Formats: sequence, C-alpha cells, structure tokens
Amino acid sequence: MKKKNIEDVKNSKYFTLWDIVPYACVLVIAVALLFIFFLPGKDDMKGFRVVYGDTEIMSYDFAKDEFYFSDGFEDAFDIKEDKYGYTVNVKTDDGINVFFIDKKEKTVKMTDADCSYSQDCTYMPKLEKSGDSIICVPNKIKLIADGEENFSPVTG
Amino acid sequence: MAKKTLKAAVCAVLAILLAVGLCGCKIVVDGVDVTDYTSAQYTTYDFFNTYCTVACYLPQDKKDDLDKLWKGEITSALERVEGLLSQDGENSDVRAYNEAASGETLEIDEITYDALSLAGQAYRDTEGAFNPALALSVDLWGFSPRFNEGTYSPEKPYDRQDHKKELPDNEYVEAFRTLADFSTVEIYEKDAKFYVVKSDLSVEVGNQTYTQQLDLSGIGKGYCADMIAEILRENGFSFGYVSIGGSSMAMLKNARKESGADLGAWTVSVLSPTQSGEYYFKAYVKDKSLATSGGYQQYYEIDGIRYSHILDASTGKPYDSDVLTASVYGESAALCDAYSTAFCVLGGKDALKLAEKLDGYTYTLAVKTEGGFSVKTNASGKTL
Repeated sequence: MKKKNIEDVKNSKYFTLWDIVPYACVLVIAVALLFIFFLPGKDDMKGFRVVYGDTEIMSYDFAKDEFYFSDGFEDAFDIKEDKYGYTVNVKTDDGINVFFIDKKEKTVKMTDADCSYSQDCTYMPKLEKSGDSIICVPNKIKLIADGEENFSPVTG
Repeated sequence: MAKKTLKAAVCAVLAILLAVGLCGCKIVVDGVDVTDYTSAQYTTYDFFNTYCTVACYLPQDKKDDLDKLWKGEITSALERVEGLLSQDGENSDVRAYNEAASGETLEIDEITYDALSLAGQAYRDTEGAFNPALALSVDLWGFSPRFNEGTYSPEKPYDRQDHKKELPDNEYVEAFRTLADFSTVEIYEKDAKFYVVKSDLSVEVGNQTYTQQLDLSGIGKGYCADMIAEILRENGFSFGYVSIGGSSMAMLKNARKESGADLGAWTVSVLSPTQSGEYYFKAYVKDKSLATSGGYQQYYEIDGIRYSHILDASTGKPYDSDVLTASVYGESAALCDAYSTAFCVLGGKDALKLAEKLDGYTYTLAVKTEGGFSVKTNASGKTL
C-alpha cells in the first residue's frame, strides 16, 4: 500500500455514512420481511358474509355500513337498528337465527337460534378478525368474516 | 469506497431476498412441506344431538380423496358409533342393555366393548366421579335426548309437566342414585366375541321396578373423535382436526403458522363460563385430544339455583362444585371427556388431587371465586 493511502486511512473517520447506510438498509429489510412472512397476525374484520348451505345470502361492509342481499333472500332478513348496531333476524327453510352487529366494536355475535340442539353457535366467540367464523349446523347458517375462512378451534 | 460498499449492500439484500424466497416462505411441519396446501376444507355432521366438524388442510390434488373419505368411511364410522352407543338407536347396544333384565348377558359390538372398557377405566381412575351408570338420573332431571327434541310431553311416572320449573321427587332421586354403581357392570371377550352382563341392581319406586341404565354419550363423543382422527391419519391426512360439539376434539397438526403457537400447533380457544362469546384461555395443541365439560351451557334455574346436565353420582343430583368448566388434554379424547366431567363433579381441590394422578393429561379449570373465577392450569404456554 502506498504511503499516501495509508495516511488517508489514518486520517479518515472510523465509520462513514456509506458504511452505515447499507447495513441499516439490510436491517430494515430483514425486519420488514420478518413481519411479512413470520408474524402474520390476523387483520381486523372489514365485513362479513352470511352463508346458507353453500349459498352466500347476505354480506355487510362496516366501512360503508351497507348490507348486500343475494337475489331471492331479501325477505329472509329482518333488521332492527339501535344505537349500538343491528339485530338481524334471518329466517330460512331450516330455521331462525339471530345475530347482532356491533358497529362500534366491529364484531358480530350469534345471539339466538331456534334449533332443538344446545344452541352451540350462541356460545361461539364473536367475529372480530378476518377469517373468523360461526357455524349453526342444524340451521345450515354460517357467519364468516372477510378473508380466507380459518378454523381456529374452540372448545367449551 | 462508496460504490464498493453500495455494491456489497445490494448483493447482501438480494441474497437475503433469495434466501427468504427459497426457504423463508415455506412452511415445513414435521418434515412435510405444507406451503401449497389448500385452505381449510371441512364438513359437518349431525351427531349425538350436536354437530361434528371434520376440518383438514391437504394437498390440492387430494380434495377428491378427502371428499370420498368424508362421505364414506367417516360417515359410516359416525353412524355406527351413534347407532351402537345412543340410547334410542334401533340396533343400539346401550338401548339393549337398558331394556335388558338384571343379570342378563348380551353380546355387544367391539366398539361398545371398547367404549365400556374406557368408561370402566375412567370410573376407576376418578373413583366414581365419572359415572356412565347415571342414565336414569339424567332422564329424571330432564337432560336426556327426549327433552331436546322440542316435543317433550310427560310419559313416565316421574315426569313433570315442565321439568324446567319443577324439581323431581326426592324418592326418585334417591332410588336412581342407588342404581348408579358402574362397578357392577361386567364385560368380557370370548372366542372373538364381546359380551356385557347387566348389573343386578334394581330398585322399586311407585310399584314399578327400575334397573340400571347406561349413558355413554359423553365418552362416545370422545371415542368417535379419536376414531375419526385415526381414519384421517391412516388415509394420509395429518393436518386438521375433529370437533364434536366443541366439547370433544382430536387435533392433528396445523398447516398454518399461528401467532404465538409453535409450528404445527393449533391454538384452541377455551370458552369463558361467564361471558358468552369470550374465551378465557388459549391452549396450544398438536396431535393430541382434548375435551371440555361444564355446567354453563346446558342448565335451567329454579328459584335462583342452577341445575346443570352433569350429574353427581354421590347425590343423584346436578353437580354443585366450584368448577365452572374443566378442559383436559391428552392422548384419548374419550378419557379427556370423562376426566373433565369428573373434575367438575369433584370440585377444584379434589380435581387438582386427581390431576396429579393422571399421567400424561394436562388440564385447565375455571374455579369459581367471589368476583368471577380463577384459572388453574398446568398447560400454560407450552404445546400439548
């Protein structure tokens, strides 16, 4: 190494900005990737759909506060609004289910079913995250939060 | 200098992206690459007056195979178990036992024999706190299947007009309690055939003689959950779970990575006994079974006192302990089912004593306190 270069090195700062920036970039990208790929927490629910058998018969969007009904099922629903949200009564050939949409909390809870079973669906956790679901087997009604339906098992 | 460093940095970033692309996104559980597995596929069945859910993650090209299994072997297994163990099935072994004369010997199916063996083991392990010989008491208190059908009308000498408003006659409570001795039931195998000898206990009330009756619905659900899980495994489906009414479950592996859980483990939410729709505990379960019992879903109240569907054989009445709900995790859903029932009957203090003796089984109890309930568990944080 030439004497001039040695002097340059001796006189230079221990770290320059260009030494640190690349490592910082790598660190930021690594952390971002970690969050993207390894910590995929569930998102808050933006809406949900009601499925009867294999047919979607209604959906609701929290942001727009709008209901969407499938053809032929408009009359299956009776909706009452109060200051907390909507109490929705859905009547099909298989029975009656009642659920409550909490507009402020953005959750949905099955509150009643007319089946002669032990009404397991009314004990299931409310929908609050993307992919959550509540199933009423005897009445063939499912409430499914938006996104891929996941099956977080519940015992009780 | 700056150029060289920049080049190195770009290379490093590309290398990381490549590494993540090659392996970071992959989900490999116990040596199986499940990255491209389907979304959860599931089906439900009516079973023992509740529902059975069979959910699976699987390779995309195996959907038809799973569908065949659902419609074939699994449906047959459910129908067979319910047919044999229900109290009212046409060919039910339990019904045959309940209608048989004291001391009569009956040939039974191997499934019934297995279920009775497990029931006997649980009866002994719990010193009678789990007791499948309480069928008459269950009926007396209004929790047998005939009360669930919405068509109930009084037909038996001990029936009330409205069983949710009027308590049963104490004479019947005491009489039926004396029949609930499961140790008097004998089972045996001979020449590859299976037999049960009906208990010789009998009691007379109101000029009518009653003999012992069995109720295997509780242990039957767990037994069936284990059986279906085994069918799934034998057919190459190792990712998913079986849930019967949420009270008896057999968990396989999970093909999705869940926040807070180890790879391959399911996060099972245990419902709160006091707040509907909320859960009070999260258990991480992989290739294990579990069951939950409690008195907070099936009950009625008379004069402010709650009467639940879980009966205490020592009193012949609905249990009245400080355990609001109990979950048990272990190899056999059938035994988990029996042990969780026993925990409720025994109450917190004795339940914890019993738990110490049950090798390989872990538990979560919600024990009543003045302000609500406290959680007792040896299952926190780890994958069961």
